Amino acid sequence: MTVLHVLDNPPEATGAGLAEAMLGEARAEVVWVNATAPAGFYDDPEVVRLVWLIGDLAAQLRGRLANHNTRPATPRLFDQEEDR
Amino acid sequence: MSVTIPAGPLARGWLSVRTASVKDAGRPQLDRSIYIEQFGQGLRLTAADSYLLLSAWVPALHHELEAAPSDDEIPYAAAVALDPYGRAAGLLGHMLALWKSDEAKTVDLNLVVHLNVPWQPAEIPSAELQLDGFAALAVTIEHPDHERVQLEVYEGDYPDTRRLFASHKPGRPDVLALTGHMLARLGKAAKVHGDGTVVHHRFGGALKPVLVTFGEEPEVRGLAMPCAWDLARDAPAVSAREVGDEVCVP
Repeated sequence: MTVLHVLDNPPEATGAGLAEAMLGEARAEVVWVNATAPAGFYDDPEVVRLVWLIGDLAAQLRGRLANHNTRPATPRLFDQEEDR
Repeated sequence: MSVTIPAGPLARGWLSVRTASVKDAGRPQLDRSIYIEQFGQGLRLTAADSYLLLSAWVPALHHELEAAPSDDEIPYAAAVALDPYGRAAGLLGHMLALWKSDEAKTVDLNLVVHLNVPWQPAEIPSAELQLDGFAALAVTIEHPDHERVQLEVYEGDYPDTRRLFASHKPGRPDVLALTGHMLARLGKAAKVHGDGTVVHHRFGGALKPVLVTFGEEPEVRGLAMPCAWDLARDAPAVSAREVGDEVCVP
């Protein structure tokens, strides 16, 4: 399981590229949107990815994940290229 | 050129099919739109959001007993009518209520549909300022002597839905999953024809579209995409990409 941890007021934005790559593969299952992680959250580095995001990018990330979650893995009848 | 259609079948077809179209700012041709194809004997209405596709053949007045045109028949006019705020749906809902009432037994309730007519009144008052062929176009639905609704037209191509229907091959899936959202939309489309309407499903395989048919006057047919299903885990696949992009194309 991949967990994204999104912080609203981070000191840096080094995780932005990682978040984009993970979203590109649509693998994110759980999203935490708060400023503090629960106890033991960082204990398993294979499970937990900590992502620092700022401003608009965090908002976009939440929006894209929300859209992803409303239609769980339903392929399209026709794709973007065919409906031009 | 106009076509006159009994109000009941047109309203049922429109209100049922429009369930497949949702708000989609990224693709204006699919954004709360109905694709209308005009044939000599009626109209074909189609709507889609790329996950669900619904289509209905609505025969014109005095052509009710003629067969629907085959999928390889080309319409002589077509338009993507935009109804973002449900104005046409409002008129058709009203007409359907009239159709079901006693009034329909004494009065002929017909609607006249015009495709690709100039927008009225013209947005630019002086005709001299308009170039031939560049005037704004509209689809109008008219209840003669009562009301006329004018809809904007998306001037561009619509996805080739004929190919999607033609490519459906019956198959027996071990398991198939549709989201609750998809089932709710199918239910809403079917209920336009009455609470007892049966939705017939013809499966095409675990990861292939389901061909659905329901309703009468007009019959609606459509394609609904199931969730990608991971047969090894017997659970929904985490992502469509995990089962391969090829499943996206029926």
